[in-house]
Amino acid sequence: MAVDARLLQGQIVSEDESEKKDVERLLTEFLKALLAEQNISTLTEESA
Amino acid sequence: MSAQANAPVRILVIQLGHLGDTLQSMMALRAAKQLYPQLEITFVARQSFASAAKKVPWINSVVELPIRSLVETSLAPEGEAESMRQIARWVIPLVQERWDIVFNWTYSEASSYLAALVPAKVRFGYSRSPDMQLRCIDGWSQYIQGVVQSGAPQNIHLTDILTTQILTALQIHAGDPAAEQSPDVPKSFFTLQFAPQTYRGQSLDHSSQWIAIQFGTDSLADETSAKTWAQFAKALLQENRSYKIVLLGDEDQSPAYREFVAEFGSPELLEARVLSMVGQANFDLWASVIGQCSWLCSGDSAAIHLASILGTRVLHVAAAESRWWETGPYGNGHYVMTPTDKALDSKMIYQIWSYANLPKIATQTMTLDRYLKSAASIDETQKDFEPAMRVFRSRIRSTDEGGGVQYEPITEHRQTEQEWLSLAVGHIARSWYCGWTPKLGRELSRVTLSPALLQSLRKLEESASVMVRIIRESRTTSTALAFKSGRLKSDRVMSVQRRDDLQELAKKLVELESLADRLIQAEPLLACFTNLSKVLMHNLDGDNLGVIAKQSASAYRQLEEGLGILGEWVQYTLRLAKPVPLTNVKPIREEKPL
Repeated sequence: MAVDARLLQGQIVSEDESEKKDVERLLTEFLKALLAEQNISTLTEESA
Repeated sequence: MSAQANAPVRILVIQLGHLGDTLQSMMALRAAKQLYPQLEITFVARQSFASAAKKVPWINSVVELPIRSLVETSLAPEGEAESMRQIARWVIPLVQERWDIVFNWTYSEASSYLAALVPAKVRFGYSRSPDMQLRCIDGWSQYIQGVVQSGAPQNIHLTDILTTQILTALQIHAGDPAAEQSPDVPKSFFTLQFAPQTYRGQSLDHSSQWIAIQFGTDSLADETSAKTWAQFAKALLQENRSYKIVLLGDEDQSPAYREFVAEFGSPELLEARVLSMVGQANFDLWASVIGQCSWLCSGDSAAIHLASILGTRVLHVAAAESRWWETGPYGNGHYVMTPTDKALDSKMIYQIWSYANLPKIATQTMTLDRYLKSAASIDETQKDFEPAMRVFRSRIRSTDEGGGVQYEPITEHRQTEQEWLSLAVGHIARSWYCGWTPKLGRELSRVTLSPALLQSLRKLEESASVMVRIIRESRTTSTALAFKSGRLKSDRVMSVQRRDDLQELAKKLVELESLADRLIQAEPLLACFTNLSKVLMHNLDGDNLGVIAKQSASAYRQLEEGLGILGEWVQYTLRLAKPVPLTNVKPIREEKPL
């Protein structure tokens, strides 16, 4: 699942289109989840 | 195999949680760095909490995640695309490296995507599979997901879980640890730039003993918290002339400080012996102050972890509903107090602090119960005295006792079924993931076993035996599925008869799972097994039916072993509670009259 950094930099277009989509999806989901759980502490149940 | 000093092991630690999580992760990392000096550690943390990691000299690099900036960008018009570009730019340095091991210690959805993006030989903690499913393949992470995060009782401190996980991982992937601890890891932990000899003209003078009170999360009701601390502080200062108090808290705690001042009264005493650093966000200042105090009194987990790291004793005023045994103060001689039926008040806190502050020899000879009775002028022989709080003292167990931190109860109270179960589940986890456990039942005491608990355990024993039968049947079914599917040339092309056979077995597994779920409705104490079962089944990663069925049988075997240990705990406890005939008692002889 690990990605080539150049894909992120937009320097190359992956020959495998699905690979590019996977990276985009991982990043999108990462950002979405990050914004959603910005005030959640998963281990110690701290408040924000 | 022994660790090769010249072969660096490059690890990436992802910790996107709050400051308490960050500090707890660093405690586990310190243990690893001491034993594996060749570790090169890159630590990912939220920007607002990265300052702590930056002060640790043996962490090679700290990567800060700018969450605040990402939020602001995303809220702007057309901000979504820009925040995507921002996060992509931020990720690039991490994906350009080839990591030996990634430890995702955040245990959150978001962090799982980041862990999946970075290239690594091995990953621990949450990640994502190519089909974007949440994945955690190591045992401890599955335990965190299935047991800890589901809220099931268990008594292993999270620092111990992370430490055991990383040390096991390193032993497998980097060999045995160094024979001696690394000199690269100084005892001071942080390299601080700030020495608060003076602060706003006041000083933490060394002629006094200082006690820090950290405002924040605690078991005291929000509206009364500052008042309770003020009453506690006043009593403490009036009774103990050599002490001074420093108040700590972030800017949000400024109203609490004002309430504290109003409740405290006595402006002269306040001026002379209370120093406020509330609103000071500087990590160096905060750590320096806590490091110079004899005690930290608080319910705030970040402050508690910081004090643990710095060797300052802690009186943890814990909320009844908090899972303090997983996140409480780490080390020897800390105290945790938690309410029973009513909120803790300042008098209770002061009593416990006074007892905890006695010389060690005094607490060894006088029980807290006796101390509280004498403070309340209660006859020592009165047996039904029950304090309105429960108090525990922390202790690092020796290796032959299983290691790690343990909280020993020092108030006399009857064990609840949740407490009993947390001991048993902790024992089971050590058996699963450490391969070795201390002698069963060491933490049990006959006097803490109530009739209600014993009744509950008899019921649990019956339910557990039903659960064992369900799990055993599931294992047998999975084994049959593995056998039948293993003889197939293809998972897709097969005879109708074989297809029906396999479908029948798969259907049976689903029915057994549903049966286990129904059993949990009647016996919720067994929920940790069904929760973990779901996590184990979700993480089966074979590429054909035969392999998946084999892995599933192995997962059921693990659960069956765990249930076996639970059964031993129940039987041991019931035996412990049985009346025992007294032996070696000499008969009383009648004295002959002289």
